[in-house]
Amino acid sequence: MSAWLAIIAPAWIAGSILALLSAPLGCLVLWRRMAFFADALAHGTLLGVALAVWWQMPMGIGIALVSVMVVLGLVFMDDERLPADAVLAVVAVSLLCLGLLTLTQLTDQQANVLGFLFGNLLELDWADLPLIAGSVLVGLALLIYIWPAQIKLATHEALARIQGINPTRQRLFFMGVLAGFCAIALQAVGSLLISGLLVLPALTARLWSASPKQMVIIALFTAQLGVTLGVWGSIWLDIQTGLSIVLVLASLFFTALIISKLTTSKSILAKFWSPRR
Amino acid sequence: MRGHLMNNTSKLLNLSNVSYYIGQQRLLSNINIDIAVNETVSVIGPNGAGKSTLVKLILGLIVPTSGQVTPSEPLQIGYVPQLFSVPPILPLRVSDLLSQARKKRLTAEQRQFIFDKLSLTHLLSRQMLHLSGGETQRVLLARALLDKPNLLILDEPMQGLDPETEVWLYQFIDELPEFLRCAMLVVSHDLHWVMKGSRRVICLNKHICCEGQPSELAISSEFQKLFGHHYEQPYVHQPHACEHHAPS
Repeated sequence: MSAWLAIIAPAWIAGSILALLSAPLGCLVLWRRMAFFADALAHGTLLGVALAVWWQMPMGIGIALVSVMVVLGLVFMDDERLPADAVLAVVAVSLLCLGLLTLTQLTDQQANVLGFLFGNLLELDWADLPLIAGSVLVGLALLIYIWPAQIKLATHEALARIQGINPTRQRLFFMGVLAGFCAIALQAVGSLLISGLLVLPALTARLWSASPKQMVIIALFTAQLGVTLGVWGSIWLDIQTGLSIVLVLASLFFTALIISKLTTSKSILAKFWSPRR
Repeated sequence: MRGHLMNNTSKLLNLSNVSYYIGQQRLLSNINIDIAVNETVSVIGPNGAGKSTLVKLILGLIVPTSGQVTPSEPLQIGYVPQLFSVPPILPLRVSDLLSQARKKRLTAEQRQFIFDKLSLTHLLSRQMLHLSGGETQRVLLARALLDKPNLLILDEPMQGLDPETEVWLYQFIDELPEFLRCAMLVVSHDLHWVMKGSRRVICLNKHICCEGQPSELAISSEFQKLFGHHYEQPYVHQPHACEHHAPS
């Protein structure tokens, strides 16, 4: 057990730190209806990494470059005939194909493709933790800074604008934080599953929360539980960490959903099975 | 045109020659309006007359194609939107929405006064999603008043309300206490309320058709053309008649 712990500890701690940012960020992604955007951005990180390896640059620069391209591309593609969710789906699959193509054909990273797609936290060691912790801290600080304005925009855009909030600036700011998060989360859950890490804890939390604050707190607990069980599960089943974390998060979500459906429909069941009838 | 403005009142907001087009489509043209401090102005007009566009221009949500919207002093706008719905993914209690108002504009007693007057205290822990139309309107009105506005804009505030709530809500805004006194712009379909008081009325139909006191308006030919079929003489002479609201 303790021997296992020594191997798992860095991965576990890194995952837990990451979950501190993913939970509140995931709530905002849902409230601002950016789930598809987050997915497109996450798929873009694969291309970012591939370009960075190819051009021998730091990965952060590659990912930043692709993120900016995604935003500019979306501005260009804005067209009232094309529904936004479909456009984002197109962007996501195109980026995934380009990323895979670059990674497999132009670099020598073929062996690591699965890791980039589904995450490999277990490769981390203690030396990686300060950078992850630092980035998450910066992300959290930015998130706290934009939080009140983001909640107001999610509630009612016109009311927020009257109070002097600039929606475009706020959206770009938020996209920046999201892109940064994707860059950090790539190692943990991989390009394909980043949106799962973002959205699943927040969705689970929605079922049990009455206020934005409650939703964030419950999402935080859910994400921590998912990361912890996921990291241990990935060792136990010998699968990619991202796969196992997202599987745990998905099970938590479906369990919560079933329980919530059963409890809220109790009255309906009771009506049918009432002893008086 | 500005004749109805009292000389000794100070101006709050001026719209001069404001026009708004989308492409070739004219939504509003040559709008000139002055709103004085603490003045109540009601805007009436048929569907598609540009009432909501006018509100958006004053709110600063859209920019006029030509002309200017100039506040004479810093505007603190309170706005009760026509349609309001919280996205269901966002769990939001009434208290959460009210906490989005600017802090510390009112004292604790003044806040409590608003809560009492609008009977909100028992609603505070309810979800916004589960409120009825009338409850939502009361919460939104409180949300706007907590900002202590100097201009309160109500866009069709009575949509979907039963006549009883409607009367009550109009009475509430007619009798705001001193610490909430502000200019008001009320967009309304309800001719009964609009024509009852002595507030200035602006009839809008892509341009300002006529404006003035209700008694002057009723005899204006443009007004007759727009509203004559809804608004018959008896209401001028019997302002308290309520057959208007009787279900037909």
